[in-house]
Amino acid sequence: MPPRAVYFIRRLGQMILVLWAIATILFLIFRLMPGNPLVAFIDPTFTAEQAEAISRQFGLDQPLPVQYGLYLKNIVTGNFGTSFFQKEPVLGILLEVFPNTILLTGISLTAAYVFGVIAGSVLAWRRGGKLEGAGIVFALMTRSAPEFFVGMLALAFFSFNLGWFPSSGVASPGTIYDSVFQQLTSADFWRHLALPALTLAIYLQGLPLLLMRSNMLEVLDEDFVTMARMTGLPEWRVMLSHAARNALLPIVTALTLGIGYAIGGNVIVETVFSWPGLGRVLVRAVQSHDYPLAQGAFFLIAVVIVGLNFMADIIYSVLDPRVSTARQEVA
Amino acid sequence: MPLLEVRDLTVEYTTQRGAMRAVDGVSFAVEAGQHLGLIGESGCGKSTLGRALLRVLPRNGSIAGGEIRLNDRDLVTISEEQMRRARWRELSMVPQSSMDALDPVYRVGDQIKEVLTNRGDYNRRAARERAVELFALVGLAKDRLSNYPHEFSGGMRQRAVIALALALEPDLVVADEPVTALDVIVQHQVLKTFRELQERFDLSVIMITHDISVVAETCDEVAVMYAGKIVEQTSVERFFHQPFHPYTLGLQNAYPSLHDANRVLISIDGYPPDLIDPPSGCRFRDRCPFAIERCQHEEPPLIEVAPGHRAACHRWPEVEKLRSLAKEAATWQKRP
Amino acid sequence: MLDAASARSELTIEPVVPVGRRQAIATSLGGTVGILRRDRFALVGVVIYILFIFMAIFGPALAPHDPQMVMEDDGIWLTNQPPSAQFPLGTTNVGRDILSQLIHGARPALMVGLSAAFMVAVVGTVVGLISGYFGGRTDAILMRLTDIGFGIPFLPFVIVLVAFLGPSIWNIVLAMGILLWCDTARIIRSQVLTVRERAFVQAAKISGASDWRTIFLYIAPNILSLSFLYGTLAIGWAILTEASVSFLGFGDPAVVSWGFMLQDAYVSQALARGAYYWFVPPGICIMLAVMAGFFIGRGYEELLFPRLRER
Repeated sequence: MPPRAVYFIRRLGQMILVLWAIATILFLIFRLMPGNPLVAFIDPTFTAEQAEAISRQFGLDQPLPVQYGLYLKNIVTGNFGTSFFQKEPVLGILLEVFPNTILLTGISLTAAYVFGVIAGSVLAWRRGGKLEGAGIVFALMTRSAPEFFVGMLALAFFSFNLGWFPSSGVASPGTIYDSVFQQLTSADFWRHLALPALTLAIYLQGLPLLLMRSNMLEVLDEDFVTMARMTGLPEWRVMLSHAARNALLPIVTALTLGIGYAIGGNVIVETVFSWPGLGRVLVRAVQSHDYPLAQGAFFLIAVVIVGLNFMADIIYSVLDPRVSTARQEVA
Repeated sequence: MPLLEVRDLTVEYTTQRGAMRAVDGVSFAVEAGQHLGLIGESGCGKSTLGRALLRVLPRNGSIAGGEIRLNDRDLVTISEEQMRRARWRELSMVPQSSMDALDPVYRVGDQIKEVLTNRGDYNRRAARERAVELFALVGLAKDRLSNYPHEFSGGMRQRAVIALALALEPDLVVADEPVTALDVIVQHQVLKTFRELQERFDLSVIMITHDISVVAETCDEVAVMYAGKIVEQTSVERFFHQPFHPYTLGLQNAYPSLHDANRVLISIDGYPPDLIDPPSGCRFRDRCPFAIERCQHEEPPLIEVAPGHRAACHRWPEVEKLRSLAKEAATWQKRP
Repeated sequence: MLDAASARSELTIEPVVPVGRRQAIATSLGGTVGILRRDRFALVGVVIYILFIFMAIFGPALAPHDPQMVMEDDGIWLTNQPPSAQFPLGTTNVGRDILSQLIHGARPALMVGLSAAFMVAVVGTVVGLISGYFGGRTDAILMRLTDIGFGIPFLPFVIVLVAFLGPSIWNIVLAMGILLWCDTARIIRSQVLTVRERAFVQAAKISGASDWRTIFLYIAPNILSLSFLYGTLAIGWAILTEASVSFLGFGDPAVVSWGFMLQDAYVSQALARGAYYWFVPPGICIMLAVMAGFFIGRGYEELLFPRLRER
């Protein structure tokens, strides 16, 4: 088998292992907490039959190991139970808001990383100047500002003060989209997306910016960059295809580590802007003690993180030929 | 007329403590087809000199004066764009750290082809053929072209970089410690390849090294550098048999001899001087067992001590005596 | 014959200086002082910390009013007062003095920041030391643990845990501590991997020092400055996290923290009313507290992600 395929399979196995571990931790948190385990799944307002059905479905009357087995089976089949408040299957509720989270995260992450990488390279290129100092302070400030604070400022100013953007939601009331394509091409959607995406992107761009700057500075001193310059290749080519290309590698790694924090940021941004996504569902579910929904939302968020990490790792292995062959020996 | 003529070249680094003259008024010439060895301890300015020839210095370094005449023009004064065009077509370099000179994310063959198509007049197909040819020249199999640098051994990377340096058939190759990082057997193979290529293409080479055995194996002319200056220059035969400068004598003592296996190796005590604040007089005087009062104040000029032989030592007329004294270990013992 | 030549070939040999315990501690402390002297950023960071520590200690004495008390004037509640001489930052929608709340907010922020950072630094350092020193299976297991840590959504985990354990700042600290050590552990581990091979560590092992003795007396001192810097960064993370948790409404109800103030302002329609005087000051305080940590650790930005170097 080619080394890259081996690497891919290893990483896939690792991903499943991590998801299993997270599922187990969730099981423990929701089962072993003080109080009757039944409380976590059966709301007092349920009818006796409903309670009976759920109890059977989750094996709540069974010993813990059996419950655990049943729990894993339910997770694999996407059965997270029924929401206490909406009285609907958890999976359905989650899948409905899932695209909103993916769109918000995907667009902000992309914008933040594109901006951060370019700005970071420029700062490295203009090293020692006033621009560099100002850029670093800017990046550190944005990384220190809590997203909800940035979000509140944006809301107060752009939405309430100037009235340029709506203050909440993903679409104007009554709007229904036939397809994702239609949604993505609608001005209304982008007007709703603008502030939350901006807030999230402001928070996210600091890391790639600072990292790209320091990587660039480091790579510019590498021998292969000097060599490329010595061969008389044009400066832009040395910068782009040798320096920046190599400086980019750690950014992808940073992406894998940054995604966890990005999704954390989602929880807040979605709450501030009442953006119907996984994070907001989670917060509301926890606030209202809707345990099945909270558990499902948490697990789906973890799936998103682990999945994005996996993707970033695969991208990395494509970008860096050393990974698939070298890392195998280490691991 | 020589191919390369360097006159009074001075290179400075700006440091926190002030300007440091790593190369200080160096002059020498390289004839077409000649192989000049540039020898000296680390930190004496050899590598700086090599990089200055291509005008690729570290950020804090700059050429402070002098001339580098190659193919009838002064490389010091031409524009950056003209210099860029001269690189690799007229003079190329095998850098000191060839191990890391290849970009880790591209296939070795693609890096050679990049230079061929961007800097030479090769189209894609011709570049592919030329790359195969270059690899054959340095003794690498052509299927290795599709490998990444990390899949190469140290010796293979070194060969690949040499292939790259020869890609556009330059007039002059500056080889900076091309074999230092390699183990002894591979060192020998690479040097042999080098020598063969020199003869085949009538290439001029400046071989920068601290290792006398490399000089013996590849060069026909030798220049000895100490503390930013050339202190002796002569043919390789005279260098080994009739050296004049005490530093050269010391260097030879520090290396084992092919002819006299029983000789004790003696090293020179001390370190080269601080080039930010160099000592007055002769720069070698503090480590020189033969230093006299005059050496403290008066810098010895680099003068012709025999036809085709230059040295910078006040005591050169007594050289016979110095040579015999230098063979004794006691001479080099640190004086109290 | 050439063997001797290559052994001799470097005429100047760099002196190898073994780093002993005392020296290492001294250099790491000296290094910190040195950073302050050289780097104005770091100096600003330290000044900000000192200011907040001062606020945290003497806050209750400094604050003009009780942060929870409703201001009245002849039985009329002084709600939504804009900044004035009497209330420099105005009052909330139920008439509480914002400046007093702000001053009181320093204490929980620092308590959370320092205790979480301490936990993170200690746990991360110990795990990193053990993982890096022993290697093999121990290392593999511990590093898989950090993989899991990186897969768990950080803020959601803290929220869920706090919701279950009860809303108190100590539970927030605990929840953070459970996850945040992963970063530090990885950094320390990669550093240990290099220190472990250094001559003085090898010498200690050969001379019969036990594993634990080697770890704590010879290796640990050499990574101390790194742990210290990670602690500094963790202070910022912890303050930020506590604020986020409070903002989402899972904070300690008995504590007036900056995050609580922002939540209070958010749910009380302060944004729609344009009451910037209410929500801007606590936001800036959080920013300054977090930024101070970043300023101090700024020069070490590239150390943030250990996996960068491993690859």
